[in-house]
Amino acid sequence: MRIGSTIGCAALAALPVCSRAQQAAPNHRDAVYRAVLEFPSLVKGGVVVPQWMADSSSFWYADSMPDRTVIYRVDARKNERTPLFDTPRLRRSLASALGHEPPYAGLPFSAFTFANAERSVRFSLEGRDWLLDRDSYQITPAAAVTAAERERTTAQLVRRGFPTTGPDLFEVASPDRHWFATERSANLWVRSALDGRAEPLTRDTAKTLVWSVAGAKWAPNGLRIAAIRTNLTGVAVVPILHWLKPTEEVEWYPFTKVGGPMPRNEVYLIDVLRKEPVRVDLGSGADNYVSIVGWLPDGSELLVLRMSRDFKRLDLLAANPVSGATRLVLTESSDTFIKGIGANPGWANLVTPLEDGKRLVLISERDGWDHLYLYDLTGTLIKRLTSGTWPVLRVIATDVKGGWVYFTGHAESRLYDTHVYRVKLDGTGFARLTEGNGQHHAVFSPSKTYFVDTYSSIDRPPTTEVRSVEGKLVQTIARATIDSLKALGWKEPEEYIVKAADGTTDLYGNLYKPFDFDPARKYPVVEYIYGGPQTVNATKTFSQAWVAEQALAQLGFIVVVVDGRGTPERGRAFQDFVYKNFGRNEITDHVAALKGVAASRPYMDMSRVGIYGGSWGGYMTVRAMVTAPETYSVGIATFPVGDLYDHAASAIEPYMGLIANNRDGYEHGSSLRMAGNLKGKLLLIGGTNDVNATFSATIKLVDAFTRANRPYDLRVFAEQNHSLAGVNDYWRATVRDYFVKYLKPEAGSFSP
Amino acid sequence: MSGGRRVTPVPRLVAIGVALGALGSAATAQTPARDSAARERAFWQFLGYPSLVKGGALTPRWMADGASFWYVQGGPDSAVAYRVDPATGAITPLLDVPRTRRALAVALGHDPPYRGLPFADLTLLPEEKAVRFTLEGRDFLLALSDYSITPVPTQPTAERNRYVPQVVRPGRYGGDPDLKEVLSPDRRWFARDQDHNIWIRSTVDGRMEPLTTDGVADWEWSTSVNSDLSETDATAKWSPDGLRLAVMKADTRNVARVPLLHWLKPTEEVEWRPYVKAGGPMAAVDLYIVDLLSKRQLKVDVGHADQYVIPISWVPDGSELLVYRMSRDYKTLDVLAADARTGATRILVHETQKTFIKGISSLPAWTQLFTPVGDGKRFLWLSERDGWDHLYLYGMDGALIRRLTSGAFPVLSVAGVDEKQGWVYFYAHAEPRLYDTHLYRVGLDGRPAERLTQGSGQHAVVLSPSNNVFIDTHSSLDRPPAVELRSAGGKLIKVLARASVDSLTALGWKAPEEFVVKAADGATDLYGVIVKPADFDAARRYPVIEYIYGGPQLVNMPRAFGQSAMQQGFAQLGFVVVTLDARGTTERGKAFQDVVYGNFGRNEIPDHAGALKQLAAARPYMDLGRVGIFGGSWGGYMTVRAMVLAPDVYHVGVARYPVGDLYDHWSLIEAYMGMPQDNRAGYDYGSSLRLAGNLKGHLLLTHGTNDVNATFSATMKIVDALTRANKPYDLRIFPEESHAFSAAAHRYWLETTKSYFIEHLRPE
Repeated sequence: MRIGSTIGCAALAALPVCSRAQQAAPNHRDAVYRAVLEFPSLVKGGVVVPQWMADSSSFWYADSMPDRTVIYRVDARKNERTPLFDTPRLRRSLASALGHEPPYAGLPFSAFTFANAERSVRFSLEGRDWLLDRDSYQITPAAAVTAAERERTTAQLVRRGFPTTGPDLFEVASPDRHWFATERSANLWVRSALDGRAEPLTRDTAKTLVWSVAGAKWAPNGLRIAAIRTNLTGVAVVPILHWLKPTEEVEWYPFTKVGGPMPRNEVYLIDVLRKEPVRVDLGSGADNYVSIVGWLPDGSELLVLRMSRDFKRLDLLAANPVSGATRLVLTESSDTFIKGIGANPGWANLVTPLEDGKRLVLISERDGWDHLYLYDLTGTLIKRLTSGTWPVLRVIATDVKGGWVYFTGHAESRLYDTHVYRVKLDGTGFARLTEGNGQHHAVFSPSKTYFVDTYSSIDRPPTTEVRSVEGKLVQTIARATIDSLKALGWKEPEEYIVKAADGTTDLYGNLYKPFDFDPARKYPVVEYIYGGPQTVNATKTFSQAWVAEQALAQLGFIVVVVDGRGTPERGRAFQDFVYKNFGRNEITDHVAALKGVAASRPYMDMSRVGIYGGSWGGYMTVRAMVTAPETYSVGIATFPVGDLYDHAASAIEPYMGLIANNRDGYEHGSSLRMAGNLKGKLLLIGGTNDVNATFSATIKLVDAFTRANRPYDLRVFAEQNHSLAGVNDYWRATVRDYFVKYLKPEAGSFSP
Repeated sequence: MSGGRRVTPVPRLVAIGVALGALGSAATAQTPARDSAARERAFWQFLGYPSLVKGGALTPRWMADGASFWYVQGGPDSAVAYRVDPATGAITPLLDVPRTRRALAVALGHDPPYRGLPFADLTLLPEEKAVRFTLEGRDFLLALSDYSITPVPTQPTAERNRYVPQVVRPGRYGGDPDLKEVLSPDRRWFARDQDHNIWIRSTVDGRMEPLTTDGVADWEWSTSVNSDLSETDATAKWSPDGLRLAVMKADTRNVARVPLLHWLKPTEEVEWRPYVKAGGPMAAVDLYIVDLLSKRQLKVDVGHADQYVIPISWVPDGSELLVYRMSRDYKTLDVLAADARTGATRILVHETQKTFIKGISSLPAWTQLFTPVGDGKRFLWLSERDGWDHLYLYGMDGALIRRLTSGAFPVLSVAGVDEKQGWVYFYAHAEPRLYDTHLYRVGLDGRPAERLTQGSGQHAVVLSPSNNVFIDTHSSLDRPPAVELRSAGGKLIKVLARASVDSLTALGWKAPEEFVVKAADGATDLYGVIVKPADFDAARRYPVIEYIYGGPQLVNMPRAFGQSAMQQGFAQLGFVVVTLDARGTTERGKAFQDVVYGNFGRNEIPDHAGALKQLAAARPYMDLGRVGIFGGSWGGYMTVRAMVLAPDVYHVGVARYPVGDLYDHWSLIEAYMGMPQDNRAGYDYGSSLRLAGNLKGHLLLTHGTNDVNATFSATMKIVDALTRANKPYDLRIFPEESHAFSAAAHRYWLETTKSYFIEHLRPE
């Protein structure tokens, strides 16, 4: 299929290139590329965010088309989906209240709150708050909530996830919502939701003592809060350069490099009335990571996880809330590492206390696969709950009354499919609850009787279903439409399985083609790599992440993604491949995968192969260029790491061990000494505010290539951090132009 | 030319240390024309062509009569020492080489190394009866009468070092001279910087003691202080009797700091350097006369305004200290005479300009305008008051005695004063070939000026101590260097040396072509040179590269034989390389220079772009559809400027350590632009950041992270401006490199620049 002939300009009408010159074939690829970049907006509906109602089994959601919003109520028990409001009636009533026709054609709002035991509804319109009586449809102005009042009663932003790319941090509300825990001048404060009055809970003055509400947990009675104080004494700082100021300024950011002094993370219990922080006894506090799991329901103990610096030992401790004294509940250990910085599950998510306050569910990889184990609070194993050669991912709900644990796992033949399962607390009754290939995401009703399941795969757009907790389909409530995508000529990406470098292990990946793919032609290949040991990189859901591989393919490339050995979610042995060997085996696997994929696909031109990625993906890109220069000829490394010594201890030490125990591994993992191997074109991209993969890594790479007399290309983004959020369009254009220039997709496809 | 204040804020690129034959060009990925390998070889060869010029230079060592001299010729393998009779020019060997070597074989017990004189240096002892030299770590005395060689006790290293000025610290800014100790006239003491104070070191026993003790960090004493914090030769001056030191103390507490990032360290480090930005706080400098014995500090009354203060010298009897005082805006320059007992000052000369006095020019620098006449009663003053630099004779009472030179040409500098016979020797551009530099002399009593050197081009002379003869080394763009011995009156006595350029001829090297075009005003003549490939064929079309500097303080075009290395190198890649000097530059009088005043960044590119068009009009082989430009420092600024002000003329630019924004630059820009507070429109116009959206061509930015001349932040600001304007650019960063690239960085830069021009200008 030729793009110009079949889809014409109807689908591209919004694109200037099309309206300007309908026959301008050379630009069509670029037009489709740009259109696919808008992928999320080309997928309509299919995703529902349920708002549970007082009966615990019904929910409402807004089906928000800009002009015709409908709010539905779904009653799972009755298998009913009905509009929550009589729209014409509501609009009539609004017209008289407003004195004019309300805007739009459907509901003029898509969010509201219930009042008066759900008999009334409160919403905002035209800058005012209104109260709707659901019986009479009478609409009356509601006493306005002032901005100050709203601010006072909601959790405020404490700080942005800057300069790292962590999530924004908000105040932490007490269970009774009377207090918000917040931070001021590196101390912990509480702010009253009633009168806005704020007072300090801690009064440290040393610059090296930093309190945070990140991970802080209120006691059930709201009278105590457990929070972490970070002691930065001795911790190295890295500079963030503000070059653009009239006179340059330097900001310092604490950063524990591999082998460097760690901050001491101390957990404190603070009585909000007495304001005397009591230190939880976690030993010396040196060379540990800590995470507050939470309070037992009766507030009698606080559970805390303590991970050793080398990630080989994880202790669950229970702390006395008054004295801070601790007792060891259980210990997990590993010869390699327990979880590292993996997020699925992260080590801080391994323990789920049950609501009865007497037991907990532990995810342990002790037999080679993550499985569920039921313990009592003395640390005695009650029962192993799951087993098999597949991993549990996360516990998503527990129901002590019914006796169930609900969790996600990869227990199907399609290895990376994520389904929702449950198992009884006695280890029986294991069952899958969801249907359909791909990734399932469940939101449980407060009653634990129903859940809303949204799922998709890379070739099927999102669908949302309501299911009973037994797994019975109640109703399909939303299916995405992708008409606009189809109008572009969209084709499903291909999933493939290929052998690793060992010739036996299966690796899984995705392959993206231009929509006008013609198997008789030759296409240059672009690999999108991450390769870090904590994440699966190949997208398993329909919506694309920030990489937009599909868009890039439209420029005339075959884009491939694969996860090599050493990555997570496939059990201990697969993951441990990385241990002590970060940077040693990944590229070999990726090269083998690439060749394996190309062997049966003659349209892949293996003499023109590009590779790109960010962060560890930047490291792996550089690595590919210097360890497999005969395979990869063009690389784009965005905020790369160049040298393992230069990187964050928490991100490296679990996988590599401590430097003293693995000097060879660290040496081999550095790409700086291999700079002379570079043969192809390499573009390095860094942000000067990056303190995740520090900007110094880019400069060290530049220096190494200069010393090795190797040409490189470089873009530097001033004042940008590890997200490059402010320059995304420029970044994308740079990636596009670089690959087009040096991989030369077929003529007539694109003119830069 | 005589020493003085070295102001090198923005040096030109120098093709340093390019080893011939070492053709490691791994950093080139592009594949240009069919004979690319040969072109690349020629690129490196021609970049190094000055080193292929053999001979044509000598260093005279004067003998007791002040007119005879000897010199060593040849490398270690063939070194011969000759002596020259100044009356006849007769050259005879100073030492019989075979006889010397035979004698040495006996003294050493084995054959001496090499085949010529086996030592690089020798000392002719008083009365010229013996020479002293060092060989194989031992000192020897050779009697010229019988060639007998006697070992002499070798001076212990420690003892010898006591008389050698030590390096106190390396030059602060890239390319600046190291800071060395300053020797007293009686050779008894060295003055040096230490722990924010001045210490003195005894040459007698090496003992050190503090001369001052009140200096602290950021308010410190230094033998090399300047209000703009530029590096200079020593500003501290010993009194003639060696008992007092004129020295300055600088308060830099209010001066801005810029960071140097040491990214390559295991954990990043930041070093802060004081840097006076345009309009920003200067160092507050006080001048003192410190008594060596009592350590009493006498403050010299130079006032407290924002100004530059530099001691010139003491008068011979030590009663007064002479001091330059330049206002921050460079509009007022005073020579002060300070009473050595009270510190009170009187004004000897009060020089003013409506625009600026010299700025940071080096030929002449404003710190070279004063020349004492030996008796201490008179002095020469170089002034541009009538629009051209000319010499004026003053009495020490500040009264003008007489004007010595005049005419529509500039005097460049004083080469020497022969008080006995009443002559001032000086350099000037006084010929129809505007930029030719000759030696002239003029009578202190009013006798008219006469030219003393012959042959177009550039002359540099060494006057004999007796002032009877001088040695003239000269060359032009197309004539290799030669050395002549001439009488003080200019009569040729002997041609002492001529350079051999056989290897150049073998390469097919061709001299640059000189040209004259009109400036953008349609009236002013501009001068420049064109360099073509050795295999130039007028029937073909060549892309053009302009090598630009454009800063207002110097002439950029090559004028002497060995100065066009950069142009020659790039030409061999298949380019026609153009260099010219536009309005606003130096050595052509005040009106020509003043075009830059208040308007830095406004007129240069129109002049340069206009010149290219005129050249190409008469030279069909120049393809103006493919034009590149490159330069460093101000040349980097001008490269960026060309790319955004004349994007239809310049298609490819390589900016080396550029300036992007005048606000961001050193206060030295104030001489030409005034203070930012007083010329907001001029500074705004001079910023290229706001013009980033004009970029159409390919721009490569290159910068060292340790640059505190054109600070590294300039490149970051340009990069940011181009990103915001959604313009692609290219970038190379040189970690730990300063404003003077190391040889390795420079070589990488050359590789990169070469590849960039080849890729984007596609020579045939």
